Amino acid sequence: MSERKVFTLQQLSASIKKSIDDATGGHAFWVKAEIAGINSQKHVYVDLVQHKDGVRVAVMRGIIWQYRMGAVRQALGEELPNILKEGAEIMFLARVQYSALYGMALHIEDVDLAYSLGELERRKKATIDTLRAEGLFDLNRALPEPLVIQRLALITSVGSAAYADFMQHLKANEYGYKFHIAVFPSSVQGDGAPAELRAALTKIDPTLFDAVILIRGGGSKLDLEAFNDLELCRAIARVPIPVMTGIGHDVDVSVVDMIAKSPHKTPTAIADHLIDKCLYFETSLNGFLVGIQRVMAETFTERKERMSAYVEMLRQRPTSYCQQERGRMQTAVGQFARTATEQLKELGKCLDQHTNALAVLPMRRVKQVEDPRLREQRMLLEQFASRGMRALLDRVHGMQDAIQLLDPDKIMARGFSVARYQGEPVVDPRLLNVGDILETTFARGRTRSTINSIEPNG
Amino acid sequence: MAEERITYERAYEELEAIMQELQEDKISVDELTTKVKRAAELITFCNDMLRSTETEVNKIVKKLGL
Repeated sequence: MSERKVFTLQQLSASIKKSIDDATGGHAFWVKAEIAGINSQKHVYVDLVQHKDGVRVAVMRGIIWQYRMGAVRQALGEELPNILKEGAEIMFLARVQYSALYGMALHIEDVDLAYSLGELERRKKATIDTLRAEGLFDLNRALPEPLVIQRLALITSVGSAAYADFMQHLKANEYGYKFHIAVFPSSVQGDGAPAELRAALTKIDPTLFDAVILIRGGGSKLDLEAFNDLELCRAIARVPIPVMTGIGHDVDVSVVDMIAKSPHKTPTAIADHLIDKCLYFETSLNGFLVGIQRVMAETFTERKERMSAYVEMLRQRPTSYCQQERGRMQTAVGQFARTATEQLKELGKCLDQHTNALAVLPMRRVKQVEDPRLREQRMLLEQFASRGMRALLDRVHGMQDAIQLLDPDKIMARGFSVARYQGEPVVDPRLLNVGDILETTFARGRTRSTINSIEPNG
Repeated sequence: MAEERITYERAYEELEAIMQELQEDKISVDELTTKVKRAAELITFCNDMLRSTETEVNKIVKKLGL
């Protein structure tokens, strides 16, 4: 029997460590795994796991050392708590380390934000596909929106800035419209939010409200996850009255936003929409008033004329019956005139009231919309005018230069001279004869000379 | 309360119907007076509803018979 070879634990560990170090070459690798558990102390310890068909197929410990946390925090920014959490699938850069005392662990050096956001998009798409397949995607969106939305079932986190903004905005509307609001409190972010939101939805009696309003003050991209939750989306889609959302994210749209009847970016935008609807409705009422008044006025004139014609006809038949009829007719005319005038007066009063109420609208529009536009146009015009002016000045300067160049003194100063015969400038030498006396003017004097020969051009 | 949700819609429809009748020019003076009175009533009530508290709204709805 051969002699047994026995190693100490330390020797064995050293050997394993060497094998691992040789195999990895000390390099870091990108690895994807799910976080099964996380423990943040000085350092962050994570239990990493991989499932396949619902069965665990790999488990390993991961550590983010405190000195690495700065870099990780910078990479993940505000999304850090949404990515380093139980249940999240992450992709990270790690080195495999084996220690004789602590065993095997992945030392995590970096975490990929884009991967986590990509996962979010993938889950979002899966939710959308399921809702479409179940015929729920367009259910709420297909509901008609009431002319006026006044009774509101408000789901939000009470005490948040979003809640305060929304309430304040509705209350302070300049037209004096009243909204009847019942609040159904729920947290709007975090892991528990979808369940809480669903619970709040079940408490709402849809026959008592015009719409369900879901608002939140904003948050990070992954904070939106709660609003992509399949169960929550199913519940929202099935609400039998319009759902309005103001989840407060500029760039991203959650699935709840997609399936809601009326999605808005912010709680304040919903409030504006509700106020505008009331205003639009009131303006249409005003339209009816104007129409009725016009019809009344037309009918009044036409019937008065017809009756006057009858009265005239009766007057021309001086029987007692006719006199009687004439009297009755006149009474009728008088009555009609009184009724119509009264009605017109009343309508006029009503119209004045509306006109006064609506008078503030154009002012607001002018202030909000036209003012900045006018300012912009004025600036453009100013720019345009000054540019045009400059071009014009440049041209004038150019012309001045050209004129100066054409000054005869300047031309002669450059060596040109003028020849004259009997006081007239000479252009065509064929009109001269040999022996004629020619006077030549230079920049600095004159000469007289006799022509010896004539050689015309061409 | 359940009825109130469609009050504005009903009022609006009734106003549209009245407007149509008025424009068709086939109604008598008495009818005209009644219709215009009803229209003015509907408009005033809608106007009031927009600016009233919930309890007041309920009273208005009852009074209007919508």
